[in-house]
Amino acid sequence: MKESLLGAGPRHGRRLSVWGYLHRSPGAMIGLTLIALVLFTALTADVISPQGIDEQDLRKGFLQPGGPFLLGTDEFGRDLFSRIVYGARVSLEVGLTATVVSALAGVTLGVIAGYFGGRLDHVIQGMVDVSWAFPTVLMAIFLVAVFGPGLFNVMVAVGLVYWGGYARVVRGQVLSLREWEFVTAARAMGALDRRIILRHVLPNVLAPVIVMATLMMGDAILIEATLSFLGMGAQPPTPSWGSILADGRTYLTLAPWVSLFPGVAIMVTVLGFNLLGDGLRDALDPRLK
Amino acid sequence: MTAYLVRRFLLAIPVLLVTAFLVFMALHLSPGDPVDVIVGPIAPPEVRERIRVKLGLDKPLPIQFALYLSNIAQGDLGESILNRREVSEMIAQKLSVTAELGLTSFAITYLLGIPLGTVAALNRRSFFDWFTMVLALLGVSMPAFWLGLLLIYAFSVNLRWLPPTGYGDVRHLILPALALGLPYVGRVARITRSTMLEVIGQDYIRTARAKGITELFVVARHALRNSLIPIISLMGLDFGYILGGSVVIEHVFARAGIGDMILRSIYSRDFPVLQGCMFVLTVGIIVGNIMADMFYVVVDPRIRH
Repeated sequence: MKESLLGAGPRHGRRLSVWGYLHRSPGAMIGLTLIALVLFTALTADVISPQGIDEQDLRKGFLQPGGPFLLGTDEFGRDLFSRIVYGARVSLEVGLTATVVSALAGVTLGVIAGYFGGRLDHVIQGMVDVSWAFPTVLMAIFLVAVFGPGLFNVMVAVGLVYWGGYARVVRGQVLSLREWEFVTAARAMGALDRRIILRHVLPNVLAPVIVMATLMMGDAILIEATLSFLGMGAQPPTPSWGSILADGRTYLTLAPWVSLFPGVAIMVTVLGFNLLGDGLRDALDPRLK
Repeated sequence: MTAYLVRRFLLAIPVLLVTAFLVFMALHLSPGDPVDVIVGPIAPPEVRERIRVKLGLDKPLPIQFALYLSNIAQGDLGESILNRREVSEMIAQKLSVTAELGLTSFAITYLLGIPLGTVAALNRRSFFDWFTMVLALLGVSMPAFWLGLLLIYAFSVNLRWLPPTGYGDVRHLILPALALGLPYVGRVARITRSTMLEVIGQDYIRTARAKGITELFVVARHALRNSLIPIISLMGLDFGYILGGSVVIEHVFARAGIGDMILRSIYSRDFPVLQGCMFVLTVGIIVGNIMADMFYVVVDPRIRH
C-alpha cells in the first residue's frame, strides 16, 4: 500500500505536467486536432457520408468537385467524399492494430532481453539488427508478396517490420533501470521478477514507447497506403486511401481530383500523428530529442 | 584503418546470410505447396515432379538452403518461371535504370538538404528556420507516390515540360528523382541544423572567429566539416530507404528498373525473379552502408584509431 502511494505521487504530477507541456506546444495541439478530426470522421462515417462505399451510377462518372458531390465522383460515379470518409476507418484500423501488436511484441522482447540478459539477449538483439537492416517499405512489400495480398497481411507485415524499434529502445531503458536503487531495493525485499517487471520496470519504459507508437502510427498508415496503392492491401471495393489514389492514377488527366483528395487525407492524418509524436517526445522524454 | 574496414566487411556477412535465408524462405512461407505457387494446382503430375526435382524441393530444407547459397555465390539466381530467362541476366540489364534513379535522388536530397540546414542553423528562429521544419514534417508525412502523381500532373499534364513516364534521357529522370528525393530533404536539413548548432557552440569555432577569419570561412572550413560527420552515417541509412522507395516510384513513373521488376514478379507470382531482385537490392544497401562507413573514416580521422 505504502509502496503504491509512493509510486503514484510523482507519476501523477508528471502526467499533469505532460498535458501542460502539450497544451503549450502549438504543433502538438494541431496534431491532436487533426487526429481528433480523422477519428471523428472514422467513427461517424455512417452518418456523415452521403453515400455508401460502392454505390455506382455510371451516368454520374467523373463529376467535378463542388455541386452535388463535394469532392466529385470516380469512374463508376461513386461519391469520392463518402469513399474517403470510409477510408479513414481502414487507415486507422490497420494503423492501430499494427502499432499495438508490434509494440506489444517489441516491448515484451525488449524487457526480456534487457532484464534477463544472457543468451536470450543475444538472440533477440540479433533479430533486431536483422529487422533493421532492411528498408521498411521494401520489407513490407516482400512480406505481403509472400503471405498474399489483403489488409490482414498488411497489418502482419507492418507489425513484423516495426517490432524491432520498440525492442531496441525498451532493452536499453531496462538495462539502465536494472541498476537503479528502487529496483535493487524491491529485489532485496524479496519481490519476484514478475512483480519487479510489472510494477517497477514497465511503468518507467512507458514514456518512450508511447512516443514511438504515436510516430509509428503515421508510418504504419503510410505503409498501408503504399501497399494498397500497389494493389497488395485493401481489395476492391474496400475504400483505402491508397487504393482510391491508384484508381485515380489511370485517369489523372481526366479527373485529377480522384488522386488529389485521398493524398490530402493521408498527409493530414500522418502529419497529425507526427506532430503529436514530436510534442509527446519533447514533453515526456527530452533525452530522445 | 585496414583492420576497421576488414571488420566492417566481416560484420556484413551475417546480414547477408540472413537475407539469403529470408529470400530463400519466401517460397516456403507462402501458403500452400511451393510447386502450386509456381505452376498452379492444375499442372499435370509429371510437370510438377520435374519442377520439384529441378528446384531441389525433393531434398530436405537445410540441403536446399545450402544449394541456394552455393548457387548465389556462383552468381546463379535461378531462372524466371514466366520466360525462362536467367534472373541474374535480367537484373544486370535493369540495374543501371534503378542505380541512376537512386543516385540522382540521393544527390538531390543531400545537395539541397545540407545547405538548407546550414542556413537554418545560422539564422536560428528565422522564417527560413521555420520553413525547413515545415518542409521536414511534410516530407515525412507525404506519400512519395502521391508527390509523384502531383509532379506528373503539374509538369507533364499541365505545363507539358517533361514526359510523365518511361525511361530514356535526363528528361525522364527529373520527375521520378524529385519524387523520391524531395521528401527526405527537410529531414536532412533538420539534422544538419541540429549538428551545426552543436558544433557552432564549440571552443574551436570561437577561436577561429577570434583569429579574424571571415564568417564564411569559419562555417565552410570549420563548422560544416565537423557537422557532416553524423550526416554521413545517416547517408548509409537513407541509401537503403531510397532504394526501397524506388520500387513504388518506378511503378508510378513506369520506369522499367529493379523495383518495377519486383512488382511485376509479385503480380505474376514469379518467385525466382522476386527472390533475385530482393537479394540484389539488399546487397546494394549493404554496400551503400559500407561505403558510408568508409567515407566516415576519410572525413573523421579520429575513427581510424
